[in-house]
Amino acid sequence: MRWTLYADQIGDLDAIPSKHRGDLLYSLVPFSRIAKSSQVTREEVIAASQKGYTTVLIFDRSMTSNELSELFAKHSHLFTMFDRIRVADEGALYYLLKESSIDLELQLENGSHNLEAILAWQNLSRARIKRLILSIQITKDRLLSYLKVLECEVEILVAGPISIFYSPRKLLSPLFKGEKEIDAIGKSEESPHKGFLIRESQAGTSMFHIKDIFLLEYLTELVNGGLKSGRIDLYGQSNELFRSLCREDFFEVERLWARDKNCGLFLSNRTDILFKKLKNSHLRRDSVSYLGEVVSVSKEDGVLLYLTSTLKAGERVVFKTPDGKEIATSFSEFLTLDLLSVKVAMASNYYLVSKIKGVTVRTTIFRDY
Amino acid sequence: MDKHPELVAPAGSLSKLKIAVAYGADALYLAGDSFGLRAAADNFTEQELLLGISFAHEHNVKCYVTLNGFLHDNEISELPPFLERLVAANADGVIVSDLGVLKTVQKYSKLPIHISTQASSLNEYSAMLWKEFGAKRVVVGREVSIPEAALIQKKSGLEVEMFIHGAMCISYSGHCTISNYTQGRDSNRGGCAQSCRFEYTLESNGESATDYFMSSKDLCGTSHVESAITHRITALKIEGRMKGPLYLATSTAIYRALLDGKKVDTTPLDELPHREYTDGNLVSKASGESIYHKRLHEESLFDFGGVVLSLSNQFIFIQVASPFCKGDTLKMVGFDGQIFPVICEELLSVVGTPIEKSKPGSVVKIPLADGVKPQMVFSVRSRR
Repeated sequence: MRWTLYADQIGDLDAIPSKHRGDLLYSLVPFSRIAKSSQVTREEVIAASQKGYTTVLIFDRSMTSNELSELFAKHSHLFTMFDRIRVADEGALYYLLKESSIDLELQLENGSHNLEAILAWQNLSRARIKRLILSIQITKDRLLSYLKVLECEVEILVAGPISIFYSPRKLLSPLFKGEKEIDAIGKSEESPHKGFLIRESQAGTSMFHIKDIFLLEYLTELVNGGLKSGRIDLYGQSNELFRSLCREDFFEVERLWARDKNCGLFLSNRTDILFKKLKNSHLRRDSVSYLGEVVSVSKEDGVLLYLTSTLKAGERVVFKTPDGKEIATSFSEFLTLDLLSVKVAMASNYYLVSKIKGVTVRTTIFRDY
Repeated sequence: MDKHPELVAPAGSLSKLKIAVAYGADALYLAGDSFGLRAAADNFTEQELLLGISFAHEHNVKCYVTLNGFLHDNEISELPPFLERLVAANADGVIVSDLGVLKTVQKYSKLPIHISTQASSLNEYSAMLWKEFGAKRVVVGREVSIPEAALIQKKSGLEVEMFIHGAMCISYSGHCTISNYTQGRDSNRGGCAQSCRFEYTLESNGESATDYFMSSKDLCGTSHVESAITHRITALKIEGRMKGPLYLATSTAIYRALLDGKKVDTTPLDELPHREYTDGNLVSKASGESIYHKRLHEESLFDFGGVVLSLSNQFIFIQVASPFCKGDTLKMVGFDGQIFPVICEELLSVVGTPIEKSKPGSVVKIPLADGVKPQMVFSVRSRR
């Protein structure tokens, strides 16, 4: 597998075994979310190319029209220095497709968690989009199934900080004055997680999870499945670790990794399950037999119903209480709010019925087939 | 000729939909039980979608249905039957942020497609790309100013909608996954745990600070409605499908009046619980001033009192939200956004039994009063 690495994290480009020399990413202030430097010379980039690296400019800032116009006016000459541009914003992608001929890599790490989306992005320009960088929220099994279908090269982050937040606002400088770029470590009493890495740059503020993603043990399986490149972000790692990486001593890399690490959501992503439990399942209304709900219950008035469907006297209904009890009944009449007795209760109206034992406010009503 | 800009209000439930219609929304955004970004909202069942959209259409109000989650494959496969139901219900459009969802909508329907703010579309090139994909409208990111939105509209030829009021993500929308990794809840599929509202302790180079450093103030664009009109922005949107009826009624009515060029007292917005107002990026880049360095305290001088269900010859029927007593003043929010008092001279149960104090959740009746109409909401002095 070819590794994707950040140029500013590697002192010695020759140290990387030639078979692993893949993308070398350049983070420059005008284009990157977290860059600290605008400095790179054409000679440096050419030298990297000659050593077998594909030189790639990271363009992952989000920008409004005015910011983008200014950037293109001042810095677009830099595009030609690189083999490719790695782009995240759809607007930047569109501009580069229309206004340049440079090869592109499309960073889809922020979403595109379904094959339909990924295929559509791939097919936007088969000639120009050379690589898709997919989200690590896509599980291993699904990624392997995608790799069978996708024609474009695919890369994922296999080791490094997990970006979980990106804002244009500078959130640290009001608290820590005097620095152009600020790194901080954060924790909250309201969360059991401690050690969020927070970085303010000229592009805004980014936050990273307390644990880095670390998937090196799955590399063989991923490569066999068709993954072309794995990105390794060595932010905060030691020279000793870098040397171990160059020796492909992954056990040592794992031992020396400076921050806590895990597999994130790569092995199992059940982030759609928990919040569905925020709602009381006994109050679910998504049924064709749903008739309405109990608005109020009082000794004086009895039970006040709000109906979303027509209900006739004598028809069987089931009341489902918030605590899961089911009570079947029927009514001989309904009283309107004006206290008129009717035999047919109409949708979108309120009706009083006599007291029903066990029924409380927010009890749902269903037709009993 | 269409009204410019269209006022788009949130409809978190069928009852809120009716309130938003009554208070002057031109269009509503709402969600079914899945695919949106507010899993904890009541949302709409299939039957309620039919009822709600039909009710809105009877009042010449459009309904856009949110499908703006970043959906996974299993959810994409569940979309087609839901799209059929939206077509059957005559929805006026869908709001999407994921290209896979957009492609699926196009495959199974001809529903007009709006690009959600969740896609963080910030510039004209982004809008042009979404136009090539078949979008009709783009709801631009909250980082976009009114002049920039106008430029996007002009250059792309798409309709442009922008948020004018309500809570704001501090992150670029769609770029925050704090909840995913810390709470196991996908913030881009409706599970946002609002981690940005937490207090954090930060350390940098030996210094320490404790602050609500990533909590944004709320957007209030009342001073910029005229600019939006001048720039011919297609639509202005109010945030808040999870917010209560008092917020919905007050904000909708006030922006309605401003869009209609009426002079309106905007202080009722100040009386709603909020995180201090900012004009965000509507004019210039939001700075450090836009951070709300405190926790939101829901305490307010006034609470949402209830909603008027219907009127008879003699009575106003009210669904009570917060308790009030015989003799209390109900601060009724008129459909023009202005508050008028209604003294509760008599308080009766539905069957006519006199009561001293109403109970939350109950329905009561009070004598008719001038100006009160069904769907009106009111506040009462807080008893907390």
